[in-house]
Amino acid sequence: MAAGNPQRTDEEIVLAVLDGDREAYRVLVRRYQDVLYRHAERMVGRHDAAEDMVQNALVKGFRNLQDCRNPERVGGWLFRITSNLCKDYLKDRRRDGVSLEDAPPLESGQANPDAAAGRAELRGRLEWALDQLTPEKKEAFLLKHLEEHSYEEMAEMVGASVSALKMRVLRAREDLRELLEDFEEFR
Amino acid sequence: MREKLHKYLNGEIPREELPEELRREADVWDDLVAQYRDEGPEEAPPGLEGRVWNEIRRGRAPAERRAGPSPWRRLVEAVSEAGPSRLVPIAAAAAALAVIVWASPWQEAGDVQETQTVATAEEEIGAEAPISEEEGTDERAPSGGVVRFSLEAPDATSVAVAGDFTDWRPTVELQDRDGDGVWTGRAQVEPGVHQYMFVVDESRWITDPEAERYASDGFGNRNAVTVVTP
Repeated sequence: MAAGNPQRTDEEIVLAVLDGDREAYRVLVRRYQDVLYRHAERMVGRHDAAEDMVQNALVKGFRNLQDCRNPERVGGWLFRITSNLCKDYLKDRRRDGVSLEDAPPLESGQANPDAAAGRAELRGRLEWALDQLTPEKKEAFLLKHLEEHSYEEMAEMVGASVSALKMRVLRAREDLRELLEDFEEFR
Repeated sequence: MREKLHKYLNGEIPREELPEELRREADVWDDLVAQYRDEGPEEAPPGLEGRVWNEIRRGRAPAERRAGPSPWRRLVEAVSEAGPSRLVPIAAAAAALAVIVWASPWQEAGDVQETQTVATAEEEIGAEAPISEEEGTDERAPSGGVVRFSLEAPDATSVAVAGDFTDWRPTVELQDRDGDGVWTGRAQVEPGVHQYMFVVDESRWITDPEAERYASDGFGNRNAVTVVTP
């Protein structure tokens, strides 16, 4: 049916949906659900919550598609919706006191002397430390280092300036280093 | 000095430009993010698309484009152009006489009764499967009812039905065999109350103007409703 042509551009699909071809939106869902889910899962740290974030974002995107002012960039627009839902979720979780803050960091000197095991521990600590950052800093760090976007891409996705994002990433690194400073590799 | 480390991590300078004392920390960052990156999820979980679509079907549609007529306006115009469906009341079996069906779709309750007596497990097909006019229904309806859909749309090149019984996919294709502009087709539907819409030319969603009843879809439009008796 109408959704069967996945080669249509994002702009063509958005305009088709706004013209009443609801089925066309399925193409956008298929096109972006993976990248949105990857980001959401890293942001909120839980599979079920990440799935909820992406589902809600895609539904919200459909219902407000007329507000997408740049249809050829609808992917970035959907990303921003997802990202905002994730940040709200993290803020709510923090406000409700449900946080990985409850997980005690490793004591200084507990790092495994074995290099590989030490890195695995460090990775676990990174997850914990990322959860201590503000949602905005966490988002900026993930986009830059885990999802490997340029600052220009990030600016479009997040809706902040390049300089603001550079500062967020820098602050995120400094916070992370401080949170991880008792770890052997960072000493 | 640490400014150089940030520049390196930003990809603005090569590692060689880092002073020796910062290279070890740069390597720690590189290892760390590489591990974390590699262990992330690859794909969205199965079924996410379906859940999104079900949620979309239950809610409202986006507002109209700023230029041109609204989808709702065009939908109304399309309905006006299509005219009323041709309705043929069916003399149903005694069990179904309680439901007097004037609107399309109409449930062929007689077929249901007959079907239930002849169907075998091997002959059973999915309850949501569309049935063509040629296939008939007598041996292919293990339960539920066969609903016949009809829409007069002389200018259409295709007409299909999408409903909650097809997961809102327009898979029940109607035919206009004699070219009189009346599109008809049948689908086997489980007993219960079902909502549906016509999809004309693969894109225009039209509410059946002669439905038995209607249900709001939450944004000012109506889905047609049909009741299928056991």
